[in-house]
Amino acid sequence: MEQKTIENYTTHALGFPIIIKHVKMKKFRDEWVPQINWEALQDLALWALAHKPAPLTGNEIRFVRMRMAKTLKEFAALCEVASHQSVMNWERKQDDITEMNRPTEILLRARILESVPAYIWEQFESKRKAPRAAVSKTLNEISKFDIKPSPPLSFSVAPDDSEISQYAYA
Amino acid sequence: MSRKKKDPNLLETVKTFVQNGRYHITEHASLRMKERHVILPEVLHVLQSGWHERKKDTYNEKFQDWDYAIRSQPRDERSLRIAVAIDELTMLVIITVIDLNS
Repeated sequence: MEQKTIENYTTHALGFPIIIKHVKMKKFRDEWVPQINWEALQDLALWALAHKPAPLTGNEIRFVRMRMAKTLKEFAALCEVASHQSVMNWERKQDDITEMNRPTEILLRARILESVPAYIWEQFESKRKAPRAAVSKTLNEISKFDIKPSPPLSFSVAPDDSEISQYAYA
Repeated sequence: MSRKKKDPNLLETVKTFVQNGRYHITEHASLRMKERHVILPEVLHVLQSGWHERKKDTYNEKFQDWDYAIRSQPRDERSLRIAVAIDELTMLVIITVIDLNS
């Protein structure tokens, strides 16, 4: 079967640009198909968004809500905002930041981490031991985003297999 | 030459592929998704909860196989039709995504 590798493959499948490095491509019915583990990519994207160094955009919020399988109303309740209209307004911002207030965004990032599967936690936090230190470190990490443009999210696939191994905002 | 038979348990087959993460997206489907602002979790939701729109299935004569159409439920936020194919019984391939509202 015909194959090739693309060094920097850009996808918008989650609603915002993601660059994936070293993507294997295979032909299916005369068309190239990237061999990406989309489930792992989505789980890893949740982790990355919770740690994003800039505020979240409308499209990123939309991805998070849909990945969590929440309605607008359910998502509003999760973020402790009064109405689903707030969530609609955030999502309407599309590629711009939502301008939600900072405590709401910190709560949302904590909720995102709550939804991340255990295997992703283990990938990044295997050395963490004391619960108090873990909570403190997590809160610190999800609170330090700043109002500044963020470079696109980039994932790397290990050259020896098709699994995504690392992420960076670079 | 007779046509290949359709999968009689298509929705179950598709659901199993999605739940096991055994799916890929063609470049064409990726492009259509970007143009129509449809994102992967929406597509996966339709594949897991939608209905089989048999009339819209098409037979690909060149590759001697079926492209199946799965449609979102009326209660869903958006009306979508997803065309999928099954690659050698090992992988689901998302062929295209159609936003029926646009």
